[in-house]
Amino acid sequence: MTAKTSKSEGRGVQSIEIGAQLLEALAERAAPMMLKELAAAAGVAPAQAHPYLVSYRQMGMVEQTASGRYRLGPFALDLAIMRMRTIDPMQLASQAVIALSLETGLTGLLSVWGAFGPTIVLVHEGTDQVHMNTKVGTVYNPVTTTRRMVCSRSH
Amino acid sequence: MGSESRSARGIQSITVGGRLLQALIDGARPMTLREIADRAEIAPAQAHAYLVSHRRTGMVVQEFDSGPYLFGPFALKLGLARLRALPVYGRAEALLKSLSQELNVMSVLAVWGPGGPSAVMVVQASDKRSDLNIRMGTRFSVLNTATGRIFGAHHDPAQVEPHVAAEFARSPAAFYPTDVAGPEDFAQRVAEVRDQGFASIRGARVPGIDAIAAPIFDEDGQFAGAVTCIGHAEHIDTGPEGAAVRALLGGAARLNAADAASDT
Repeated sequence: MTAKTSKSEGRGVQSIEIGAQLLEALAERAAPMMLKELAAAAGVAPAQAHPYLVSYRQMGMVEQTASGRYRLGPFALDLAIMRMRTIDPMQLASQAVIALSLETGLTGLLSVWGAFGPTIVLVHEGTDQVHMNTKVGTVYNPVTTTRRMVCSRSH
Repeated sequence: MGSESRSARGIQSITVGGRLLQALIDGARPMTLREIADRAEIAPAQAHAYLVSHRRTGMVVQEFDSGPYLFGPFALKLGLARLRALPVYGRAEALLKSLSQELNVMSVLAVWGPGGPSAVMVVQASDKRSDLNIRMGTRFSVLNTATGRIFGAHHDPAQVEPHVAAEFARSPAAFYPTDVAGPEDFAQRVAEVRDQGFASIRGARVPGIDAIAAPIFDEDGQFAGAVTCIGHAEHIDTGPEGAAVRALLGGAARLNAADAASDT
């Protein structure tokens, strides 16, 4: 980490980041892992990894199987569920359309399958304004437009 | 690491970092540094250092500088890894796919998450008629949904009972219609669910949309969640001898037997 980033972000807590390496290693391997394998995968010594796992187990972030192997616990699923509720697929798609439009300089459109067929829900105009009769709410004929490729791909 | 307070049992800063995450879960919406710190009862300056590191790992994100915190991609990655790591959830995924294909219904796996039963896997009906806005993270009412009643019947009463009381107390009552008369009526209904092995709802939430749900159990026989089929009334026969209920219960029974036999 450079001095510059640490200045702009402020000081962190090193243990949180070391702990995250252990969680990352567990997430990368679907199967439960012994302490030794887990520590090796995370790049820390087993003796160093153990107290982290004790604390993670207390909060339900990890749990141990009958054979003593570690896997992610119910708290990890709670965190994911909160993330799932936060992500809005339309927002992610909008950001992607805008980024694509800015990168190419072309007009970007986002459309969804509405009651009357493919319907535009977002227009991001390119640098070279083309006067198309294309605005939010426009319904395309799925058979005659090039966007049929999009339609067939998304279904 | 020299200054790290480390008891023989664990690492204190991992516990403190976890309390901040729990506060962000309990807040149930994007929260500012001060809100998270207050709820976790940690000084804002100290909380900030933890959140800097949580943000570096992708556990939390901010949509703009000094904006409120929300959970990030690392949180999703960890939870999805848990779904892969538990055999019962891996088998549930295969079951959802076969039910959606066979019955032309939406199939959902729900677990008890923050704020109640929550969808964690969703498979669309085979005809892709997606007129139900159920997706990963969607919460189900315990009182009024087939999925919720499976939790009423099988999940820890210490968590279910306060949740049910809170659902009855929602106001204005006209916004939250229910055909359940009260806690005793609910107890009666979930007892029936336990006896017959599945829950069903006919058009209660959405007219014309029926649902059936069954419990699944992990390798230790512990209740692990609900598998639910939701679809148009013409695709689901909610009767105990109907094809849909037979497919669901047969699939859940095979899943539970396979899990009991597996050795992890």
